[in-house]
Amino acid sequence: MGADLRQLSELDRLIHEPARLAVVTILSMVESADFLYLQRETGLTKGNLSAHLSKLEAAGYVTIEKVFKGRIPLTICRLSTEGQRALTQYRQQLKQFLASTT
Amino acid sequence: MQTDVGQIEKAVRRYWYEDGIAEVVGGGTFIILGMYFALQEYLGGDSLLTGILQASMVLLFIGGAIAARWLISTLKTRFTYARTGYVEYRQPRRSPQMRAAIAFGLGMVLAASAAILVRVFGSPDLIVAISGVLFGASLVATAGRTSGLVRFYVLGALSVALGVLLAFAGLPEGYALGLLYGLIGVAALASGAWTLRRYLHENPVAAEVGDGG
Repeated sequence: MGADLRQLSELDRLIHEPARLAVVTILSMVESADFLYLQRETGLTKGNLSAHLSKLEAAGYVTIEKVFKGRIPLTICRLSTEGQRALTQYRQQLKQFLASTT
Repeated sequence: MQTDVGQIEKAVRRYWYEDGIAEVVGGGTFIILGMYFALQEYLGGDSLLTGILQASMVLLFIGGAIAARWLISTLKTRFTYARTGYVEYRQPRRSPQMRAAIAFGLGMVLAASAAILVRVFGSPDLIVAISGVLFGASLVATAGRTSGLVRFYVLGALSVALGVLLAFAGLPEGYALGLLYGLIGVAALASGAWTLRRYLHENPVAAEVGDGG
């Protein structure tokens, strides 16, 4: 396998999946966002989004917390420092790969 | 599903303005500011109340900004979060004291700039034109550029046009400034109210609010 292709295979697959990439991108731009907002912006079903968030939480990329804002129950999601680092690294790797193939 | 990262980033930035609440509150604040300037003109320069009003300008700006922020947060909790979700945007990492000092400093710089402009150019009307142009430009540069929403460009253009028109209207300074802020406020309020009405119509409250995580 060439160096370029090897670079591609080293991409973080947890982030590379489109739905999770969308979730992580949104969370990287804000302090926190709730489940409803993430569902609306990504267009995923509740079950699907829940499954993706669980994987990201298990990897330590996202923290999930249930809180009340006024009388409204919210499931608040935050990108952890590790998640932020993983996203930055993913972007760099992808950029390098694209630069080397053009 | 949305997978275009650029579009996702744009949508996140636009979300703050999607319900029109910020414009409604901002518009209301501007109407109060307009009344403040017009009241000063109405009372005349020698009145004690005018002196108090002028002295409290910086406090009014800081207090207005804090009150507007609280009101936006309260209204968003009431109308937005249950419908389309909650987002907490990143704040600059500054202490409350530092923020107050920056706001105070900005207020002083603005007041001093206005006084210098009047002294140098000798025409108070220039302040009205500059206020309109500066506000219009800052609206386009901040809300317009961040959100990409056309209504902010329209409001920005309206602010510039009103500033220039009122500068040549031959009104006393306080009334011209009051009218400028008041009319911008009414336009923002109307635009925000129309946006909020459409937002509420298009986004009924979710059956199971925020649940599922």
